[in-house]
Amino acid sequence: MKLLETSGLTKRFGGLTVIDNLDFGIEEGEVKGLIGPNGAGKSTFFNLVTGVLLPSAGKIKYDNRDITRSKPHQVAKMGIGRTFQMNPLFGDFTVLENVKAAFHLRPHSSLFDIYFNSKVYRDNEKQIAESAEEILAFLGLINVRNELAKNLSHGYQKILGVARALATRPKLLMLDEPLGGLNPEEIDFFIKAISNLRDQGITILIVEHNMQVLDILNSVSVISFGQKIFEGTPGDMRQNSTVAETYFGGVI
Amino acid sequence: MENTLDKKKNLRKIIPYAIILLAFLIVPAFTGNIYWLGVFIFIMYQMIGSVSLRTIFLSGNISFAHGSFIAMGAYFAGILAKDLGFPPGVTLLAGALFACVISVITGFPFVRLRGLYYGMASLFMGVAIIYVIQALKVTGGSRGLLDIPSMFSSIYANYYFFVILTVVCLLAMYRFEFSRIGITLRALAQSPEVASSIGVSESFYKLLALGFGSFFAGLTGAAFALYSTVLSTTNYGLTFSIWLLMYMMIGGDSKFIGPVIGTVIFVLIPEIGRSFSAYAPYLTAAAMLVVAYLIPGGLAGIPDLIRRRKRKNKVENLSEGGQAI
Ligand SMILES: Nc1ncnc2c1ncn2[C@@H]1O[C@H](COP(=O)(O)OP(=O)(O)OP(=O)(O)O)[C@@H](O)[C@H]1O
Ligand SMILES: [Mg+2]
Repeated sequence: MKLLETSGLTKRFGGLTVIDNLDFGIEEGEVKGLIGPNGAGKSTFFNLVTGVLLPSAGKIKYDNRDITRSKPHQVAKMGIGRTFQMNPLFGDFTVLENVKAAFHLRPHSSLFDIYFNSKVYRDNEKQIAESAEEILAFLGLINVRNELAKNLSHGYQKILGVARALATRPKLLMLDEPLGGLNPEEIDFFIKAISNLRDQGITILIVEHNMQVLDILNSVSVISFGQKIFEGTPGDMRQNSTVAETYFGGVI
Repeated sequence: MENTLDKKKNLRKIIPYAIILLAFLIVPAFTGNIYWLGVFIFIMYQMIGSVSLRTIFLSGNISFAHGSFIAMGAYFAGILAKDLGFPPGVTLLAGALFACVISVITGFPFVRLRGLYYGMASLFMGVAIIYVIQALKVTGGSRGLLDIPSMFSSIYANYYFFVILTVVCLLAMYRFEFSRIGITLRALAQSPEVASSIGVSESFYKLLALGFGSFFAGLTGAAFALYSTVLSTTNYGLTFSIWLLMYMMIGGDSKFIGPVIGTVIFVLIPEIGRSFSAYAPYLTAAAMLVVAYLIPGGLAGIPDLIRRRKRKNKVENLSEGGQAI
């Protein structure tokens, strides 16, 4: 079953068509790559799906619901977690505070519970503290949990972005260039973490220029100027001459 | 071990509040002078105003309409008390709720605006509210609203009522800030896009902060109306809103106690040196510059600054020691 599906998705900025009549789908449980040259429209696609931008035309379906005009916080509530390419953070919060703050949806405490410090709220916060530590341990951030997010290295900040997205308990996790700024060890560690998440049943969409991710992808879509030019397995993509020409300038 | 550390930390947090509260409690014992009691009531009235302004500021928005929301609470309560003869308990609550509801309704169209744009919108809103009050008949127009029945006849009763009101309001706002609600607001202020991506509705939380802060603005306005018995729009214009912002920023906008300290100091200083009160705006401007250049965290940030200096010295000493070896 398709978890996410777009049909005829189009986004224009003035006269510039950035996403052009795009049909894109991702199967439940798979790890899919979305790749393409700079300016192909990958981040714009993320922003359309998560409600940051409104499409000019077309439809977006997620989990059998039409989310074409949904707002970002509604999309998050439905189970789409994401990171950003420029990776903004709650810089004045510590790493742990970043992740704890991200437990906004689940478990849920009403405003009344929160303000009057009810038992429900206290229990939820206890659970959040534990889950946050688990996520940090899983992603190797536990030793920096009391550092301010803005003081972290670039690589750690990237991973913190993923930790935050995981705290929303997503069904679909969308990562925009998660490997940018990571050193080789961090990349190996991170790629293992991704396949681990897949084993836990999370569907994952990755935008990435680093071809090391190909190893863990089930399928790939390649876009160029907002149009899909390839769809298939990573193995087939390596053989594909159009992809090789537009994306890699003929060298793979 | 960690527990006692937490306790120590909490104690250190309470001490400044305890000192300020104690000072306010014993003021009447030192001066039976009605004038000075009035000054201290005026401080408490504005303190609730600037602390509640900071509650709104937590969401990342700077509002220039706060003085006007205080005016709305004051006028609504004043009219209910004077023309309809409502008891003080009802008028106080009604004034607070009125400011809260109007702030949310008028804030709704601008809730998508951020930063400077929100500031501009709130500025026009604040000025428009004052014009409306001046244009209406029930408010007494530009002549002002006179002869509001007062809550207490004794200045001491008024004084201690304000002490209790201030403690209650500050506790209520403190709870707001240090619960998950405040954390969510601070997250929103740091990055609206990240906050939305974790499921925070920017509009809802911004209106929540606005409504909550304006409730206390209305409440303090209403209380002051029942104490002063006369209202004039000249006391509530844009200048008033800017003063409240000044108290918050000079006191330190990143700390709850910032506007508390800011209000006390910047209402007291011109009062103590009556002879130079004409220079008060210049002194405030100078203080603003000093804070902006020397203590970015405001007055409430000084202890942190000192602590950081000390730590830095320690680290430097250590590294020097390391070289010597
Ligand atoms: N808000 C905007 N207004 C106008 N043009 C935009 C806007 N956002 C993106 N674009 C343009 O859309 C195109 C696609 O941008 P996008 O960021 O989606 O590319 P990308 O595939 O993510 O590229 P990269 O690999 O560099 O991250 C670019 O030409 C960009 O300049
Ligand atoms: Mg991009």
